[in-house]
Amino acid sequence: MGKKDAKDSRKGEGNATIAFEDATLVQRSRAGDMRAYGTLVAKYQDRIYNLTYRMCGRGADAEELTQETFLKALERIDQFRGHSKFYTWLFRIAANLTISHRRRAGRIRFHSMTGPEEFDEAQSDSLTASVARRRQPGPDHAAINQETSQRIMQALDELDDEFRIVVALRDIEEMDYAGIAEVLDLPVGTVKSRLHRARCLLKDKLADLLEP
Amino acid sequence: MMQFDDPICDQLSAWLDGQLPQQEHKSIRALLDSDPDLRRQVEQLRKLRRMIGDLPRQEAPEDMAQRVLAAHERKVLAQVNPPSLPVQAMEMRWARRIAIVAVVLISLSVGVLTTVWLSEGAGKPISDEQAISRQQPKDRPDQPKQQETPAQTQDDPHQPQPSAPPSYAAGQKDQSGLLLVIIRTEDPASTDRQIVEKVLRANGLIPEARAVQDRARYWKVQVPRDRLARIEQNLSSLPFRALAIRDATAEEARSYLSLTGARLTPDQLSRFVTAEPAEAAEPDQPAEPAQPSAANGSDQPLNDLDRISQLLEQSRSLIRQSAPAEQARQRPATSAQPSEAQPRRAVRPVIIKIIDSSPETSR
Repeated sequence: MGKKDAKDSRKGEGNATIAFEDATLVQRSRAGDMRAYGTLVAKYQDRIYNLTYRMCGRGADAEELTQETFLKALERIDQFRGHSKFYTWLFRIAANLTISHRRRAGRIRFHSMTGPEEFDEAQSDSLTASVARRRQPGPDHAAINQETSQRIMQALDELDDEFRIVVALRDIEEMDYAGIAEVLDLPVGTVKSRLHRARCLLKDKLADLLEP
Repeated sequence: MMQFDDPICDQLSAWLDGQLPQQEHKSIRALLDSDPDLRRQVEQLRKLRRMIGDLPRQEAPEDMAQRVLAAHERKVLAQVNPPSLPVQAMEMRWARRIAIVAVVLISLSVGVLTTVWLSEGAGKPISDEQAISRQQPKDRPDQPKQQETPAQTQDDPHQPQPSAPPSYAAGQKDQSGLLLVIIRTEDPASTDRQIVEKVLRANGLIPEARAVQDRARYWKVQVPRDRLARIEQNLSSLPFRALAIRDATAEEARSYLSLTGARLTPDQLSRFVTAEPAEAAEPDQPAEPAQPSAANGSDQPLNDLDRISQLLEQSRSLIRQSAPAEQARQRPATSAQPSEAQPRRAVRPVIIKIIDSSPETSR
């Protein structure tokens, strides 16, 4: 067994452990152990929150959607058969809730008389990003400044939901295509084409940032 | 601008993400080696992907788990106690309305009895001569009676006539009937029993209720024939079990009573049906002054709201006047005992009214 195989094997063991832990926690939750479900919430809350935040762009909405996601998952936990990973099932609930939320919000838009509401959100994002970079500087990721972050968020917000969700799941959650297809209940080919199209749209919107 | 429908271009993102099969991956790699424009596009996509990935990670509130579990608990509790506050308030309003209607209906029935007894003048048994003499002006209501004051006029229900005995003359069967009130409870705190008893005592009709059986009490009162139809009509409108029997045979009365659950013995039943005059009070029974308020408005329609309010107030005032009723209880009870010396009369139209006091709750 080579080095790579050994590494994959350890990675596989790790995944199996996580899956086993999830299955155990789900089973205990199904039996009414709320502490077990609390552990599941704590384990995935940041990922769900991050996804919903990137999808809706507002912290308050993201909090509400995250809570609603876990609440709905708890109510339907008897329906989770374990055919997919728990977090895949969780992301499906979150994606559906978020898309429904955006459709509702799209029908009723509130306009601030004092300026764009995203201003404060952007400041908050910048501060959070700064703290996050100091806390966990990514070795391979170049830090982006506030303006760049705001531009990207704006470009993402202008995408249709069907494109934004695949970008969020792939480039933020780093899911593989099969996982995205499972979450969105789409063929892998559709995921591939939607993702490419979304990136092309973003590339056009952010062309000045992408020039060498 | 990149062409979306370009099959090669469509593969670039997947190639970048490492999501292509090995063969396709190699093919795209070869194209990139030979096409600088494709390499530039791939570099832009790679940079875009990195910028999106570098967006600051957002963290959920630390108490998210507590929030979720608290929200779940609230939802479960809401399902256990489904009525919302407005629904509860609505139910309370309906319960209050039902209680008011029940009180009004009970008071109505008691008021009917009171009115009848007052207009009949204390329900004392009378001799045939008295009955005939009393009946005479009734046949000619437009003529004033010589020996009666206006307050004693039969057709003036507003005026109590404690000294005027009910008519039950031989040969005039249709002039009066017997009202039998049975309450299926021995509970002294029973509201129905208290109301009926107070009314009866206050009007001096029958000072002592008699036990028929366990959980049963009864009173018997003679009622003028011309009022039977009205009383029957009111009885039929009562929400609780009520029964009116006219010209009933013993067998019919027995079967009706068995339906009501009164469980009278055959002896008791036959005595009521065939020998009821002997059970009536003696003629010399002292009559208490009738309550003026209890004699109001029997000429008015009984379903009139004002009338119902009057009856309700009458019942309340009678309950409040417990002292005179207690004095009446101290008087000799011999008048209430059956007197075999009383002349027996033939079976007369009988009205039997059952006031069901919900024995399940009063036992």
